[in-house]
Amino acid sequence: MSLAIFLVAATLAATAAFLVIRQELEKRHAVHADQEFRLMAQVYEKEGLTGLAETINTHIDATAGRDKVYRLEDASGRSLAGNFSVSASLPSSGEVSSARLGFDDDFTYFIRSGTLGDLKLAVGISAEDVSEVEEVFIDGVMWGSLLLAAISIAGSFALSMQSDRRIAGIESALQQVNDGHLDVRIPKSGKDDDIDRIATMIDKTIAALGANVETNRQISSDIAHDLKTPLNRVRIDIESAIELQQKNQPVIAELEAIEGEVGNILSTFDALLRIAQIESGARKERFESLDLAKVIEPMAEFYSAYADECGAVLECKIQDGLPPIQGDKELLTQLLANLFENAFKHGGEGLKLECQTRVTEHAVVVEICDNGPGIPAEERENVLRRLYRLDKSRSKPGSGLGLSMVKAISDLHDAKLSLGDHHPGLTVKIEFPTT
Amino acid sequence: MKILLIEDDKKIADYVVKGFSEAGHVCDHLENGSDGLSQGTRERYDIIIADRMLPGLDGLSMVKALRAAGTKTPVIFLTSVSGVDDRVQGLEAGGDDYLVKPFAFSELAARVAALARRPAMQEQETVLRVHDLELDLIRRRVTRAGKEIDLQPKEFLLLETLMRAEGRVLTRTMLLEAVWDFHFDPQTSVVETHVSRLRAKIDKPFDVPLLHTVRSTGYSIHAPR
Repeated sequence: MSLAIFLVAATLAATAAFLVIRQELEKRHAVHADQEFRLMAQVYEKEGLTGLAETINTHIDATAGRDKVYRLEDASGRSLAGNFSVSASLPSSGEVSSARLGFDDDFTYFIRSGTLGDLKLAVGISAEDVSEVEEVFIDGVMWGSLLLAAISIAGSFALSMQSDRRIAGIESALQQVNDGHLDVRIPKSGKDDDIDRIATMIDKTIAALGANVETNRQISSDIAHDLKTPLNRVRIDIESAIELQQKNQPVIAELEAIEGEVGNILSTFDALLRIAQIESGARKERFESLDLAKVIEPMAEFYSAYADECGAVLECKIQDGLPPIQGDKELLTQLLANLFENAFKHGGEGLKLECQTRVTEHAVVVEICDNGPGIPAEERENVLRRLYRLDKSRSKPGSGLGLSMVKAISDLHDAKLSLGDHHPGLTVKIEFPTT
Repeated sequence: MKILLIEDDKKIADYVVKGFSEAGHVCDHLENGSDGLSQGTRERYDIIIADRMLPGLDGLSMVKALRAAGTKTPVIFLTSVSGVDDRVQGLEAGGDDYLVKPFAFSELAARVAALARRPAMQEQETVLRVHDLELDLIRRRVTRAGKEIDLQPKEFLLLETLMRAEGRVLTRTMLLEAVWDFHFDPQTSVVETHVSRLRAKIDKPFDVPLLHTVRSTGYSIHAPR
């Protein structure tokens, strides 16, 4: 289609050029015929009929072929000199076919005719060159079009071969992804064209998928690893219970220990399921416009008595008239509870726990700071991972899921979570978008 | 009390039936939702305990159908996923409470007892009394043996919740839900702190303790026995 349009356009342009050239040539022929006629008129004036006839014959002899034609006749129409025979009414100036002049070729002539006293003189200039230009033009356009068409067809064929090849490249990469090779990347042409851009997008998607799969793999192995320890302890308790039973000794202490361990395992699973549910994003449907103060205040009130009891200080500074955010009150309560619980668990005696809010242009910022042991900078990413614990000995109670849940809830709210240093202690900053 | 349990997990069902029978209640057990619906509409129960995931008719649809048929029997859902959505969906379907599996029998028993007494609680009582402790709901005033006791708003609500359930055990999670509307499980002993603060005000200065800790279950307020 585009090829046809291109060819038509090229032909039209060539035709326009040809028409301009032909008009110019024709104008020149007309001028030339007129000049010739006037030259002959001067000869006649100076040298009379004999001189004119002689000049005409000399000109004819000097002209190759029939580039110039002449006819001189008397009043009765009898030919006196010249090389064409037809005297029938010729225009005083204009184009005439060679057949009308009695020739058997296909050219046209520009005629200038008129009277010189009693005599009639007609001068013709051949328009053969115009016909030649026409022929050249037609040949040129024809061959040019053919050549253009050939090049275009070949070009688009080559292009489509190339894009077929590139699409095949994408197909084979996706097939490999399908087979589980998530490190595959699609080869690019480097032209940054449509196909390259799509390939880049697909690469990004594959990379994200790869990261997800890797995370999941990590999680499953973490879960397996994390559950082995308590299950082992359960087994030891069962073994000693069996031993005691055989000696007819009470086993209640062992059973209670087992109950405790199993309880911990179950709450770990519970938390994992909750995190998965939060990450699925389904909870977003229940989002509503919330005042964060209404979430923070009851939480601070709930923990303040406990803080007194532990000899800790809990300070809460909430700005008046916080702009509303979109959120899930229950999950945000859980988020704060996890952070408070963490602070109490790790802060110990003399804990100072502060919770404050700030309003920026696009966010409500909640900061929770403590003066506890803090988290080393290199561990701040890791602690957000499921089941990751700084306390490698796992001697303190905890599932290693509290901060993962905080992260999942922040992500669900499109909030930015960052952990920092409080010199000493930990600062947890969460920026909730207000729009 | 007459209890209907609809639960397809045999082990959990046996555990629940045994628990209630030992406590002197009648507990009928069915394994699928459609049987539960017909039995629940035909017979009068004090409470229905329904699993969310049931063969035949799932728990949610069964309770919706029961409610549509005009059965007002309180329903407790048992769910295996602790998603808050599950809880909300359960309440929307016409359930009155929910409990996440696995659970301790004492937790279920406490919740069943609380629900079974609910209609009575809806009577317009304006002054709650336990022994010589009085809580005036209208004047927001608490006195014991005629002596006024000053309570914080949450302490007042905590005491009111306990007094409305006089003689029954309320678990930590039940108190968290009823008093603070919190649906998470604190690892720290925050609830204990609140209860002991309340106890310091209503029991400490007096000879007879009213607020009792029920070991590994929860709290109960009652007159000396």
